[in-house]
Amino acid sequence: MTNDDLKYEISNFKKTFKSTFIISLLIQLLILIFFFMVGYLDRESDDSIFEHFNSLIGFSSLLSALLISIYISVRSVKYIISNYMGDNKVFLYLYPNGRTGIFQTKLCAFLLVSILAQLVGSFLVNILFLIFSRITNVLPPDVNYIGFIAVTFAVVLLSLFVITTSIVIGVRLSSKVATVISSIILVAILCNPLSFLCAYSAYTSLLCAVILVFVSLILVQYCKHYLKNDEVLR
Amino acid sequence: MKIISMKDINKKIGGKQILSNANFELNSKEICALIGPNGAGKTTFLKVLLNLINADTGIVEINDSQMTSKNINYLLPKFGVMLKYPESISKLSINNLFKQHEHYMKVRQVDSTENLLKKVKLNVTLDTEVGKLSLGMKQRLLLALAISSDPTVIILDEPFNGLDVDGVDLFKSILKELREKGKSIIITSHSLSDLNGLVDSVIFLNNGTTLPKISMQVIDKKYNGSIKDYYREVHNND
Repeated sequence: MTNDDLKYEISNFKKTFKSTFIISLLIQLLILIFFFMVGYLDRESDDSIFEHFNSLIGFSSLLSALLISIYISVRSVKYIISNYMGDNKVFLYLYPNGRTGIFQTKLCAFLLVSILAQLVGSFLVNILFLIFSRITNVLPPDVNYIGFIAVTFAVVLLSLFVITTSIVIGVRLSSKVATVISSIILVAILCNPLSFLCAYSAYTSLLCAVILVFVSLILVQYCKHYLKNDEVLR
Repeated sequence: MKIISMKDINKKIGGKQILSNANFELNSKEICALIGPNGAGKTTFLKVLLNLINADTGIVEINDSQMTSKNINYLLPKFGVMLKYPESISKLSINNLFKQHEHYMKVRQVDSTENLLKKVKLNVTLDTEVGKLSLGMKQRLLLALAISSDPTVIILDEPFNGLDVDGVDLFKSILKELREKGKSIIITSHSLSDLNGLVDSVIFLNNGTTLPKISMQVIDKKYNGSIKDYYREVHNND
């Protein structure tokens, strides 16, 4: 994968940036408002996680990131998965590096653009909410800024894991449906355990996210090995 | 000069022997037709040549270099291929399609896109969406794409599908011109009459096995130049 190859693929995917950014912004905003209202209206409980900035941001960022991952996985069907089905696959395989090289470059470029759009959209909402909570004093002033940054990166890495894994599954099975369903299943499995982590320990959630990203790197290597030896029997 | 050599190619798929000791040779400045009934193994044979399928046994050589996983990326740009139309290019404009092809092939286009389209008599603008073309126009486009990187070997699978009479004649004149430039061409077609006056040799494939290649001079003598009559005779004898 050269810089030119990556730049070329990024130029193909940059049209997805705007829509992913807007969707990320909206989902993060709606979920944050929802949980903020839950915390605000549930002041009877002594220690609601929704009454503290870090846990509120952590929980809502995780949920929105996982939902955005499903959206991005659905987008990947058009931009990546469909290239590895039927006659489209034959067309790609006939290029030098058409198996692993082009796949790797497409995947990197797609993830770069999508994750960046997600990061910018979600982070923007979180920053605006931080400013809002400071001005209005609706939340206690104690904010762990490093924890805030850690959670932001953790949820982005989790997204990376969900999107990459669902793309690998989709390419491996040459199935658009498998891509979408696997992203939904991954989100359903990860949501609960990770939500506790994000709400109570940003650093542990970051560590988990890093481990999951390593898992997705292994899956990408597996996918490349599969593509290298794939036979187009039909 | 021998460009392609395929020796004793065997391939089993799902327990069925698809190719059985199939052999093939192609020289430079030669147009060879690969013919056979449906299910004979023609497409599988081409896929083995193009490294889309791995033969169980046998050797594929391009310019005396055996095709392996180590040199495949070096050999693939030597091929210009026209197979089935891929839907993945439907949303691309013609201009972007050729840019993509040039980028992925890592080989400069031999001529401008406009000239390539003129060559195949495709009178459309470069910003035309590929998916909006008719079947015959897509075939012309795919031929222009296949020859755009100046390949050594051109492989055409059913290129005359969807072409009108003028389109078939145009394709034939382009292929003859490419042969004169030293290119080697493999062509499959169920429309055997379209191959008359075009090919230099014919190879018959049935039940995964190839008969020895026969030159058009022999077909002219024995079958009055009719590839169809040759086909009928060998197919009945099989």
